[in-house]
Amino acid sequence: MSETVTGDWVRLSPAAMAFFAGRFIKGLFSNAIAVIPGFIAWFSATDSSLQRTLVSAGIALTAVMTLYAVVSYLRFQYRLGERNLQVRRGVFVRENTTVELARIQNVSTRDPWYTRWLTITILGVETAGSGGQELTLPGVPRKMAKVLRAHRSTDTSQQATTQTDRLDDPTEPLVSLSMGDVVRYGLSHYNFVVLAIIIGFASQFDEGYGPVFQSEIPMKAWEWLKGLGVVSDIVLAIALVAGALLIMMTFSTCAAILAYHGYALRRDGSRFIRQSGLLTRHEQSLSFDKIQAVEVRQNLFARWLGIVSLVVRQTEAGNEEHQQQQGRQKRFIVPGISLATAQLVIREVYANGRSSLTHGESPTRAFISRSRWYVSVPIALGVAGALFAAPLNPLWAVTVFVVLAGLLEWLTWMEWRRFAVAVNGDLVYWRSGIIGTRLSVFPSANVQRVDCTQTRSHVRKGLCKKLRVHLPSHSVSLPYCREQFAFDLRNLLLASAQMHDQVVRPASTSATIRNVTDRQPPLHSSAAEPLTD
Amino acid sequence: MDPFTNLPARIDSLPQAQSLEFRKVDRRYAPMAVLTTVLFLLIPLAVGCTIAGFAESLARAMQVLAGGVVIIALIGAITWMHARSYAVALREHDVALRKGWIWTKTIFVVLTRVQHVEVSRGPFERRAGLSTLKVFTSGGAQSDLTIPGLTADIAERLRQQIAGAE
Repeated sequence: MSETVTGDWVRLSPAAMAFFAGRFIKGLFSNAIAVIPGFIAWFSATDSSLQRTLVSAGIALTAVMTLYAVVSYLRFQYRLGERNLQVRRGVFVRENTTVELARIQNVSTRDPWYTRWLTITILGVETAGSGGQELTLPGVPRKMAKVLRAHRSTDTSQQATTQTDRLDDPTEPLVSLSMGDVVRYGLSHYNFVVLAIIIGFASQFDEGYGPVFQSEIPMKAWEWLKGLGVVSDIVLAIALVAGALLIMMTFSTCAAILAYHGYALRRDGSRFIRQSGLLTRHEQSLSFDKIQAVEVRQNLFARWLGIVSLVVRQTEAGNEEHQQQQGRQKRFIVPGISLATAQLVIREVYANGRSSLTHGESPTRAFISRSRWYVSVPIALGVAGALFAAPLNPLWAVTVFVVLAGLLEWLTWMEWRRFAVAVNGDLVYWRSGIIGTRLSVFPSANVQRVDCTQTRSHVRKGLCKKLRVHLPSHSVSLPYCREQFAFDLRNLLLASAQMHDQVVRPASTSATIRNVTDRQPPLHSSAAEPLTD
Repeated sequence: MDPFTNLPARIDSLPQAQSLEFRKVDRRYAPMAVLTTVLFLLIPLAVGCTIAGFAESLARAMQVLAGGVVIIALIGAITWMHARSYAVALREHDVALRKGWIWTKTIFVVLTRVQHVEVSRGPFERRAGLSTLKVFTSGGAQSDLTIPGLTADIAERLRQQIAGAE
């Protein structure tokens, strides 16, 4: 520890130049649209060939990149004192940043492949109130992360020694993913089914596929397929869908391996530490008091593969753009785990938390009858219009109507079955979805605002058209529920939000939740029930 | 797991939000809201009439005017009904707003979650002696609350009450 705290201004490791060069290239790519016209202007202004222009542009860019990397490196200095961390940086605009060590919230590290064998790392420092903006220190000794973590915010400082010890300790991680797990997650993660179906559909209407099949053998196969008539169309559609799916799944699996190879999630005091990545090794931490809700998600493929993903939701303040910028880095995901493991992770955050929901209040049947009305009237109108406008066979019209209406009816029914809300102790469970499932688990005290929408006819029937609950991270809603349920839940949520003047503490520090655990099975012991309907 | 059935036992002892008495916003708010909307819509109508009058005929301009007046009257009527539906209530720990004529939405915002409160007065509102109270929570724009049509005095008292309860 002592050799890192020198109190003098220190340069980064020279390897940081690779980082700056990388940042330059990234900047260049993200501004590619602005760069291309300049390049074209240059190309047309000079008389030389495209090849020569490209080569000289490449040389010029490399020179600028090298210069940028070297100057950035030379201009970047930091000083780690006893109480604060100071950073001086900037090529044209000089930036001086001072971070109080006690105010540091999260310390993340990234180890790209080119620094893996060195003792340095790319350090990200996030302070309270910085709105997720990180201070990045590329190429500092790996020990520094440990030093900074030891100084973390006051409420965890008394546990600091045990925490750092635990970090070095090769303790059993809560979650660790094998290659198979990561591949399974990659296969399931991207919900491309819809897209694939659209592609298959679109190709049906395209007769201009001839040029693709120019050569002899595909031509013959094509002719043979054509000869089969309707069967050929179906076979072709299935082949296209399957092919598109295969390509997308390959991409998605590669992306998953890059991001989540060697995934390990550990608990460190009252925070999670997560390590993952194939080329660049990321280490990220998330303190429990920043967690607003935990979501268990399972799409169709994940259902088939028997896995779920956990998404930990944090406060999403600020405007939409700001949110989108931060969305990626703020998402703290535990990918591709079994339901039992999800249960284990949830119980680390909320002592009596569960990863599944077997009972709960659902929307009334009015949800389906109302949707049926909304669905069938437009389809009937559309089909009737087609019947008169285009010479459509009445039998076809009826078939189209029945198929479309049936499909939408089925989807509505699926959605109706997915909706469920339950309260257990201090926790609220909110399930939704159509084909996939999403279960939000949050403490009732985190609620910020409750909306209830009704018309007069709903009031007469004792219905609530929509009950919506806003959390700092997101909002959840339940359509067409019993009015009495909506009112009861609203009273309960408002009361419990008001009883706690602060967000409910995580399981490790909260006395109120602990009391509830007495009635629950102990941690790590019980397996989760399946996500039944 | 315990299903939802543990709730009804506790529910009687909880404060009942549905029996809360709402107080309608100031009577001057509805005319003001209609006036603002109508004035705003008159601009495109005037432009349309002028173009129709010059490009075609006076008769065509009259037709456009008549159509426009009907549409604006309709929008004005809807605005009137919507503006009349606004009602507020304040409890010790939350502030409530009820709005909507056909679809009535009741919103409760927990006071301990309020980040800051703002009172704004536009040019028309100043004329009518009204204020709009904006309540900002920590969870982004979606969970903020805007209460229009309060007299300056009530807006200020509400603001102090809400800010004081933080």
